[in-house]
Amino acid sequence: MVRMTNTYIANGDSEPDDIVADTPNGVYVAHLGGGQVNTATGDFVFGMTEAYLIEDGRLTAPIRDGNLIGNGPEVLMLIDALGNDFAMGSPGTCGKDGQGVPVGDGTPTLRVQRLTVGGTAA
Amino acid sequence: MHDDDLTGEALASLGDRVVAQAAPGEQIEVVLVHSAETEVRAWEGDIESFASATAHGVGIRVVIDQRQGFAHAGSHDEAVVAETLAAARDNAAFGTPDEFQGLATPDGVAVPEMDLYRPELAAVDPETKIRMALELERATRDGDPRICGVESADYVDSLSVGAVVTSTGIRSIGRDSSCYLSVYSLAADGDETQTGFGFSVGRSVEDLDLQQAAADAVERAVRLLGAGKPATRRTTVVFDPWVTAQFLGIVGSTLSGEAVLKRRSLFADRLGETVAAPVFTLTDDPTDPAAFGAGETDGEGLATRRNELMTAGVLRQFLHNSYTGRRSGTASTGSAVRGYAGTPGVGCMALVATPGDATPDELVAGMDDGVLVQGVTGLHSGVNPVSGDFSTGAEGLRIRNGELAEPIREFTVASTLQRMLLDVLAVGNDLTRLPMTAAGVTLVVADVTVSGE
Repeated sequence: MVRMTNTYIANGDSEPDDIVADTPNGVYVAHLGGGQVNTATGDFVFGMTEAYLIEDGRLTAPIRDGNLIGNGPEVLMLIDALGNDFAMGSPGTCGKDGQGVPVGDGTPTLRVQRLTVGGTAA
Repeated sequence: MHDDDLTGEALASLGDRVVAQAAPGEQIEVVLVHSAETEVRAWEGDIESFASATAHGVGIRVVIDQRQGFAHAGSHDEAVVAETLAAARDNAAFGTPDEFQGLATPDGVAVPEMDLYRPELAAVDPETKIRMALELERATRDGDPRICGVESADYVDSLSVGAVVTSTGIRSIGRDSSCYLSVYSLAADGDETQTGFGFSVGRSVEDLDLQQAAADAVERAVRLLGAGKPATRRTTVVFDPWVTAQFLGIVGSTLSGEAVLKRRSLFADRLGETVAAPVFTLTDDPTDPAAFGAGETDGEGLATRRNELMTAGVLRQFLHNSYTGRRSGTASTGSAVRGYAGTPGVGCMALVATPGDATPDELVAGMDDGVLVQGVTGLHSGVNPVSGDFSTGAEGLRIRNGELAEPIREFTVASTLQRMLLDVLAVGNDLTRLPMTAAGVTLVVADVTVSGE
């Protein structure tokens, strides 16, 4: 079965703290929960299980139970900062019809210029 | 499947022989299932996959000295069944004593008689099933010039006969058949791609409407072409029946006696209170033969029954199996759900929101402004059934001046389950059967946050 076994975004040269400090208004996503991707359109939704507001370059209030929604190819074009803290995430399994392949992915801290965040406090 | 299996009598007789071995003070329950399933997937005019499987399953539960033991096996061979009983008895010795542990006992509720099994489905040959999957793909592809492909076109069916026999006096036999067609289409315009789906559900192939499933898949994909993001605002949303069915499934999960006992239900302390709008009545009714989840008996062999959960917005009851019923000081509502490979849980089987009088078009015609949500993504990650927080990705159409207007995508809809139930403005008259626990129906909900640009 063909699967991408080791997918990653290469390291950048920014300090992660500098990326946050350079963000006047945003959301820092520390952990994503489950999600869903429409592989035909590239549209994705992921739940944020740990996230914080960024205000004037500092992490402030925590945000709960919100969703991130976007389109994969479009989001790749909107990455404007990459940290120097590359790490692999937890490995998982990708498969179908009873077959499974161990897969892993990794990325440094990265910033996306804009993304829709769903919730009730908009 | 053989003739004696069609009645389930052979299964129940096997069960009789096992429960006859119950020792004094020991309760034994045997669940026996014989099922056959077929799945066909078409791709570009050919068969991508064809899977056909039959299963013979046995699950045995033993309760002795307030301890429960369980074991299961994939065979009806007498020697295997004897080993399974021995394993269940052995496991019971390791159980934690629990005063509420015990099997169901006959409760006098009459088993509803329904015709859920169509022997003609068992006689449909594989070539016919393959032809339907291929025809479904072709009809979808030919439905509109903007359809550029079909992601999947499936025919699926299932025939099942089961028996539950206990040493406490239960002896029930149930059987059912079902089949469905499902198709996901791809529509393209330039670089843009959209997807749409269509379904048709029945008890035998004669019930299936292939052309309608294909037409729905085509319309849903094509009408999204050119979609942009909506402006962020609070507005009234109209849930398509498919979305409503998913929403009701989540609401139903909060009404299980197990969730209530574990203090994980947001409605735990609210029996008798108004928790939804007066237009909203929610029922779990597996005695309705038209429901996909219809069944004559539950996972413990008790008669299913019509359980009204919310009546005109008032929370009436939770669902129970015999364990959660006893532990809650009430009785089973005939809502034990399980396969042969596990002990009974509690859950909805055939949820339905009582339909209103208005057609979907009439509901939309009454709205100056709003959003029709035709699909949601990430529902399982975006809804917290304990707190009720609700946030999901969505796609659909704007509603302007009483008409469906431009397509929109890549937005989220958010509220809480508690508020959405109270904010229901109307239920449509378009009850739609889907291969899911809940039936679909158009639902109009006020004051939902739509987040886009």
